[in-house]
Amino acid sequence: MNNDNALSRILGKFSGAQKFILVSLRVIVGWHFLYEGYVKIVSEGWSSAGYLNAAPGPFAEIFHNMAESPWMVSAVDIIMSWGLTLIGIALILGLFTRLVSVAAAFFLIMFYLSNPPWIGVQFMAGEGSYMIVNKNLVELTAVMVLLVFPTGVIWGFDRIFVKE
Amino acid sequence: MAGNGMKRRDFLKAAATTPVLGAFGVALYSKESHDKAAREEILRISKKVSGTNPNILKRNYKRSAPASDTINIGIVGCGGRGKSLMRSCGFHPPEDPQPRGLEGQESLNLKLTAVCDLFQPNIDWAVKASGGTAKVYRTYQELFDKSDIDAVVIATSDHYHAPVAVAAARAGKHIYVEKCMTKTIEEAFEVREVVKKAGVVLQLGHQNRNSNRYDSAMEVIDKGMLGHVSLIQCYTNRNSRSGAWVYDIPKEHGPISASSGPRNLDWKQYLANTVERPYDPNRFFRWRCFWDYGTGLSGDLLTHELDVINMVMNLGIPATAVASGGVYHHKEYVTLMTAEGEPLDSDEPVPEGAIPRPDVPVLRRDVPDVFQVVYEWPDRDLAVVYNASLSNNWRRGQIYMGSEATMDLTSGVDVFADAQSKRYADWLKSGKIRPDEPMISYRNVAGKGIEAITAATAQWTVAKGLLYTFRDGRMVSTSYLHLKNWIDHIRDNNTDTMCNIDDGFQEAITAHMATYSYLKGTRVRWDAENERILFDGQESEEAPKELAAIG
Repeated sequence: MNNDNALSRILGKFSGAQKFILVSLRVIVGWHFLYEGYVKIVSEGWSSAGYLNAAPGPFAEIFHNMAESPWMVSAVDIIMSWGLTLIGIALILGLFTRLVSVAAAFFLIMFYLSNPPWIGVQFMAGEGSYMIVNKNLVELTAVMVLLVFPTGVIWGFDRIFVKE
Repeated sequence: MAGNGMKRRDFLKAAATTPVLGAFGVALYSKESHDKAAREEILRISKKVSGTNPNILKRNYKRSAPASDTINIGIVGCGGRGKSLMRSCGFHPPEDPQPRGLEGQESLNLKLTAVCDLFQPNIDWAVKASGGTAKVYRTYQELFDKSDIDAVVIATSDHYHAPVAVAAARAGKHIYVEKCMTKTIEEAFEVREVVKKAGVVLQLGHQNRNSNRYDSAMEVIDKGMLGHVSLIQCYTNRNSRSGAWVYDIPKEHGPISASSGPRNLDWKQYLANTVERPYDPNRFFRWRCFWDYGTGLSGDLLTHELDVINMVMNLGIPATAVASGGVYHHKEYVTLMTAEGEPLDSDEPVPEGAIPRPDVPVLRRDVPDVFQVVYEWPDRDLAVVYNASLSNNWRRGQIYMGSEATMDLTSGVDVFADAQSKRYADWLKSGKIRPDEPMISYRNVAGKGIEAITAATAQWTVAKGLLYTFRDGRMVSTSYLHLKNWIDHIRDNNTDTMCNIDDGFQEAITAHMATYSYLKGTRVRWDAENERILFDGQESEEAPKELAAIG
């Protein structure tokens, strides 16, 4: 908790604009996670198997092996859909900001590695063309910002844990 | 007071971003209502009276009788397809893995009590699969005379479909028969007559009728969303040896270092209703390559397309057929083994030092591997074009071309508004829909292991709905559903199965019109009033000489 107090003091010294931008970043990333998760929960029969099977690149085999086992696919489906949803809600509320930032970073690293926009890797058909940096990496970097500036202690429920 | 004030300010700061969740909910609600309204608007544009296609009613058959009584079944022809049907019925040797696509499905409550096959390892497999309850009969006649079966599954080579089905019907047995229902036009008449007279329940083996994509496709046609459909394109493309019917010759055929001769199989009975020929394992294990035993691309693969088109459009038999083709790629095939005498898979790379198998002569097929047909229904102002290559794997689609929109059934259901459509002109102009993006799209749910099927022919059959479909989010074998539909009708004493004797008659005549056109080199007409075949420019109404030996 001392750590939270220290952070709260440091972040408290930021200008209003700085605080507002950092909190907006957290809320917007949260919104994105929440919708991605929600859609997967409500789409009838949605499954990660197709995505896992299509994974290219140096780690393809790991993802393909996951897709081989129906048990694993069901586990990934539940972790993905509910994980994204809960992370989204927590980021919007500013609750357990650092913990969920780590979880969000984990998801984004997995997404990045399952479809890496690296030179020589034939990546999955998507909405753009990339070279090393893609939207997953940009969002991962945004989540890293949230991790080192956990704004839940300024505007968010993490404030409850700060003892003055 | 001051302390309370601090707490309230703290709480406000803690909950500062909570209203965003409310905004998210409002956005979600408005997005979903918008999407729903857009879908309903597209579906509302129907101009046609619904419910004109009786095949729609067939699709949701619910059995009324209980399944408490066990039905005894027999299998005649337990090779590749026969084994697959037995697995779908729940029969397999204990050491085999559980068949896929049966998980969570109702047991059919069957007992396998009779088997007849011409190849000993197939008989052994069936006896094992039955758990020892199946008795072996050397001929199908004996099986119908002496066994205690109620119903029979016929998965022989095509040249035995009709003779076995006729014998079964005469013996009062219910029939599941593989496609093509018969080998000749004459046999199609005979099977229909005998089956109807006997009142037995017949199901023709077009299991892909059960693929749930056709529910959506038939809804689209039923609502008239495509306008006037003037042309349907369908196809078969495969590019593997097994896809071109060059199956592996089993080890049990005999010691492959010895010269050729029938081993473990009844060659004499195999030829009993066709041309007498010296023994050739190609003609037994790769029978689809020869007119003596098979029905070519028309009976084997065209029927998958034309049967579902008939179901979706309720077309009946075409008025005319023109076909052409040839053996353009798979002219010769030498069956190889390793220097040590181990058999080789025809689709695997050939290792160094491979030599021809002495027990298998060079395969020279006489059925075409490139084939095309044009069918016409002048009463519906419609033509259907089918073409096939067994040496190319490109996907082309089953495409229904209407004056207002196009429906593509290649891997699901996609409906595209036509760029020149009048009905959809306003929406196209406003950008609500785009001609290059489907306005309605339906997909079989991918996942749950379906992508684990990697063989090219297997992928092809999955995409065409020939192996699996989805029920309540679960992957289900379409063969199981087709067999269940047959068994349910037997229990209900109802002959109107998913692919009944009338559908089968239409399937067989449609396929044979193409074959006869190709073999006789002329256009073939169907005289619907008198139910007979006419050949343009030819007096004779006889079957082509290549098929004349049957019967």
